[in-house]
Amino acid sequence: MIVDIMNMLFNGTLTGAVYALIAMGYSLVYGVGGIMNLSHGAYFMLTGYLLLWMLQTPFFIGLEWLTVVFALIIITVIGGLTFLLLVKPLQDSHVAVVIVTFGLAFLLEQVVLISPSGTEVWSIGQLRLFQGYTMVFGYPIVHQYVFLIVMSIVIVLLFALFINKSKLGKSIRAVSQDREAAGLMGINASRILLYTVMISALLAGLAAFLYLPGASLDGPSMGWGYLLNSFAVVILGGMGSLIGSVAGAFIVGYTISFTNVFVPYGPSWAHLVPIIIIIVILLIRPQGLFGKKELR
Amino acid sequence: MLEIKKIYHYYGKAKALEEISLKIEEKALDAVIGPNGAGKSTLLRVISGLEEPDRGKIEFLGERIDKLKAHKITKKGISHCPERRRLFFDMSVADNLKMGAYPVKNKEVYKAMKNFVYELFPRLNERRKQRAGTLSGGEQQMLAIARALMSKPKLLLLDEPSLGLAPKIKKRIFDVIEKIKQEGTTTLLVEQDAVLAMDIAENIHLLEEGKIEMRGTKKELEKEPRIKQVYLGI
Amino acid sequence: MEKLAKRIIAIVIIAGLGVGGGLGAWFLFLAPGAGEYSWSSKDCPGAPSGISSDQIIKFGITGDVGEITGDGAWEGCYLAAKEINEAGGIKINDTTYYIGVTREDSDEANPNLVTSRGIAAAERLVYNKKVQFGIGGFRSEALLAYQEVFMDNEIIFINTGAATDVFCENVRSWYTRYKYFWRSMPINSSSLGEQIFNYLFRLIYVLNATYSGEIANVGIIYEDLTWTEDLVTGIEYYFGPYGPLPAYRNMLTANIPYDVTLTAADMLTHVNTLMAADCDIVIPIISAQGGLMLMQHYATLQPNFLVVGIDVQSQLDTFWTQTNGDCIYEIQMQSIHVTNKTPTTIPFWNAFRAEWGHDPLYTASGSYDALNFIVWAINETQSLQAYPTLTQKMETATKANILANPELFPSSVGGLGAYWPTTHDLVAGYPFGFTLFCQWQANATKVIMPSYNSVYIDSQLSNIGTLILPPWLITDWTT
Repeated sequence: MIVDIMNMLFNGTLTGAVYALIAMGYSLVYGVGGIMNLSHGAYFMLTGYLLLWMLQTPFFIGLEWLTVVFALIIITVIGGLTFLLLVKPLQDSHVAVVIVTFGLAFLLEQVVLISPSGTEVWSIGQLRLFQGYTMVFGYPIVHQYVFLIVMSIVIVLLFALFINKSKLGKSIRAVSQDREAAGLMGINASRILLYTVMISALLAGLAAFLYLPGASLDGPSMGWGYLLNSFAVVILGGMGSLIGSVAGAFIVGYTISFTNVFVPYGPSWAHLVPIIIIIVILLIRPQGLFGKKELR
Repeated sequence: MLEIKKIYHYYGKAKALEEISLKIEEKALDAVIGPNGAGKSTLLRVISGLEEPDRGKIEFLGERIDKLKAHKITKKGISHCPERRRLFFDMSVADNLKMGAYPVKNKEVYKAMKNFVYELFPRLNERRKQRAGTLSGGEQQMLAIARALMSKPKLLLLDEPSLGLAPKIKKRIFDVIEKIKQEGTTTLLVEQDAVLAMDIAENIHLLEEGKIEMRGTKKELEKEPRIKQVYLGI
Repeated sequence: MEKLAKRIIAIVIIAGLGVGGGLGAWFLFLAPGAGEYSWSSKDCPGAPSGISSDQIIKFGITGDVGEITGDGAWEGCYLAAKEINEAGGIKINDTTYYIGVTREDSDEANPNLVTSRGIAAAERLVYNKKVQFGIGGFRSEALLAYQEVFMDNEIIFINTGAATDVFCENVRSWYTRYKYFWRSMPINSSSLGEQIFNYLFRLIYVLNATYSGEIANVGIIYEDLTWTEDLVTGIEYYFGPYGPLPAYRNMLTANIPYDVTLTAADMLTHVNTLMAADCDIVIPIISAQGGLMLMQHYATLQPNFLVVGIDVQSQLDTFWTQTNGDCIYEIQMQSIHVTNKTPTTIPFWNAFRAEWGHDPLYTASGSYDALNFIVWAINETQSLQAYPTLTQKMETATKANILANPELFPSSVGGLGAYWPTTHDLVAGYPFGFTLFCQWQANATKVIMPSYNSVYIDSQLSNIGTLILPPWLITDWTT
C-alpha cells in the first residue's frame, strides 16, 4: 500500500513538474497577448527531435551538452519567428491565430515525419545527467526524475522572480494588464509579446530537455498530447495565471497518476482525465481556479 | 511646441473630430472643455498615437508624429494620462511609477523624478508598496498623474483628472496641476468641469461635436453668453 | 492598409508553406498524381522496361507509410515481386505477366486512429489503381473497416499484420461475403496467447528447477486495443484461477491495460505497479512506443522480473540503437530470424537485408509469403479469377495436403504455410505457424531462445542460443 502511495505521489509530481513548465509559457502568452498558441506542443516535440538529430551527427560526439544549447536556441528562435511571421500580422483575430498556429503545428509534425528518424520511436538517454535510483519506502526514486522535479521548481521560481522583479518581467505584466496603457508608458507591446512567445518556447524546450532523456521520443505526433494536457492545466488553473498553471499542472499530474495506480483499468482511460477536467471546469468555474472573473 | 493642423478622425462612419487645428506654446497650460462625447478624449488619443488621424497633420517640436505608434510618441516626450486612469492594478504603486519611467534610461533622472512625484504626492510615498487596485479613487488619480510625469515629459496630456472625485480632492488635484505648470511642463488638459479648468488654464478651447467652436483666454470666454449659460452656470 | 498587407503576407506565407510542403510531398511520394493510375514497368521491380499495363498482375498494399509495420508489408511484397520478375515473370496461357506492386497510406499505426483514412486508402487502390489483389493490414480496428472495400469488390485480400481472431471467423460464418479474406501473418491472437503460455510454462518450470521455485508471479501489460483482447483473455485464463495446469493457477498478480497515447511517466507508474505486485515475469503485449518506454525504465530500475512477450518495435535490429541498448535481456516473439524455420527462411533473410538494410518485421515475411502464395495459385490454375478458381486452389493448402506432398505447395519463409479451408486462417503450431522467442543480448545481438520443445523442436532449428538472465535477477533469485 505504501509503495502504491509513493508510486502515485512520485509520478504525479513528475507529471506535474513537466506540465508546469509547458503550461506556464502557454498560459503566459495567452495572458499577455490573448494569443492561443497551438504550436506550443510542437515546440516540445521539435526540441526532442532537434536533440536527437544532433546526437546522431558525428560532430557532436563528446559535445553532447552543446546539442542542448543549440536546441534551446533554435526553438527560441522558432518561437520568435512564429510570432513575427504568423501571429503578429493576424493578432487582431483570435480565430486566425488559432488556425495559423494549428497549421504550424501540423507543418512541424510533417517535417519531422519525413526526416530520416521520424518514423521510429527513439531514446535520447545519452543526455541523462543522472543514472540509477534510490529506494525510499520500498519505492525506487529515479535520480534523473528527481533532477527534473528540482530543476522544474527552480525554473518556476526563477521565472516568478523574473516576472515580478525584472524590468522586462514588469513590462510583460504591464502589457498583460493594460496593453494600451503600457503603450502610453513607452512600452512596445509588440516587442514584449515577441519576447513572451520566445520565452514560452524556451520553457517548452527546457521541459523537453529535462524530461525526454528520461522518457522517449514517441513520434512526431507526441506534441498534441502535451498540448491537450497543458490546455487542461491552463483551463483548470485559469487562463493567464501563472500560479494557476503551476497548481493546475500538479493537480492534473496527481489525478492522472491516481487513476493509473488506484483505479481498476485506470491506465486505459487515465488520459481522458484532462478532458474531463476541461469539461467540468468550464461548466462550474469557467475562469479557472486562479483566473480573473471573465475570459477574454 | 505642438501644432495640430486640420485633423479629422472617424470611428467607422461616425465623425469624432472635424478639422481640428490647435497650437500649444512651450510652458503653456491649455484646456479643452466641452460636453460629454464632444471628442475631447479622442483628441488626446490622436495626439498620443493611440488612434491614427484619418486626415491632417500633427507636429511636435517641428517633427511629424501623426503616423507614429504610441510607444514611439511617448519616447519623443509626450506623456498621456488617460481617461479612467488605466493603472496597472495588480502592480504596486512603486512598480506603476517604474513603468511610467520606462523610457528613462538614466538612473539619476529616474531617482530625481521619483523624488519629485513623491514630493508632489506624499500620499503615494506612504503607499508605495500597496497594490494600485487597492487605492482610493483620489489616490489612484494621483498615481495616474505621477506615473505620467515619471517619463519627464515635455508635454503632458491630462484626460479628465477630476472625473468621479469629491470636490475637496478635485481641488487638490488641480493645485498639483498648477504646480506642475509652474515647474515648466507644458500641459494640455481635457476637462468637463469648465469652472475648474478655466481657473488654471491660460488658453481655453471649446470643443463641441468634434469641432472647436470657440477659443480664448478666461477673460475673453467669460464674456460669451453661451459659455456663461451652459458651462459656468451663471 | 499596412495591416491588411501584413495580414495578406502572413496568409501567403502559411499557404505557401502548406501548399509547397504538400506539393513537395506529392511529387516525392505520390507521383504521378490523381486520376486513373497508369501501371507501367516502374511498378514492377525487376521487370524489363516498356511492358504494358495488361501484362501486369496488380497487387495493392495497404499499410502505414513511414511506420515500420506498413513499410514492412511493402518491403516484403516488393522483394517477392522483384524475385519473380527477375526470374522472368509468370506465364498464363503462354503470355508473360509481371508482378506490379503499389501502396497506399492507411495511417493505421496512428495512436489517434481515423479509420476513414484506411478506407480511403483501400478505395484508392481498388477504384483508382484497379488492383487485382490486396495485401497488408496492421491495426485491427482499421482493417475491420477497410477490408469491406476488398470484399465488396470481390478481391482477394491477405492480412499480414492484424492478429484479432474475428477476421477469419467471418470467413466461416459468412463465407459468401468473406471468402476473399486470408491471413498469412501472424497466427491469431488466441494462438499467440497459447504459444506464449506454452513457452512460459516450460520456461518457468526450467527456471524454478534452477532457482528453487522463485518464480511465482506473472504480470501482463498491454495496449488496450482490439488485437490484444483475445490474447489477454487467453493469458488471464492460463494463469487465472481456472487455468488448465494447477501449478500455474493464480499466478497473475498484475494486469495493466493502457491507452496507447501513454507517456513515459505513465509507463514508469506501471513498471512500479508491476514491481509492487512482486512480478517475476512480465508479459508485454505491445506494438507501439510503449515497448521502448518499458525497456528504458527496465534498464534504469533493474526490477526483479524478466520481460517475455510481444514488442513489435523490438523485432527490428534498429531497436538496439533506438533504445541505446536499454532493450537488453528482453525476450520477445518474432516470426522469423536467422534460422531454418523452412529451407527458404535464411535465403529470404539475407536477400531482405541486402535489399533494405535491416531485418524483416513480421509484416514483411508475412507479405512476402502472401504474394508468393497468390502467385503460386495463379501459376497452378493459369487463371486470375478470384473465385472460384484461385480461392479453391488456395484452399487446398491444408495441413494434411502439405504434410503429404510438401513439394506441391509454395515455399514459405515463416513456417510451412498451411491454411484452414473454412476460415482461411494460418494454421498455428510447429512446423506451420509458430513464433520464435528471441532475446536481446550484449553488443546488439539478438539470440533465438530454446523453447524447451514447447513451441518448436529446438534440435530442428539452427542458431539456437542460450538464455542469459540479468545479473540483478540472478542475485534476487539466489538470495
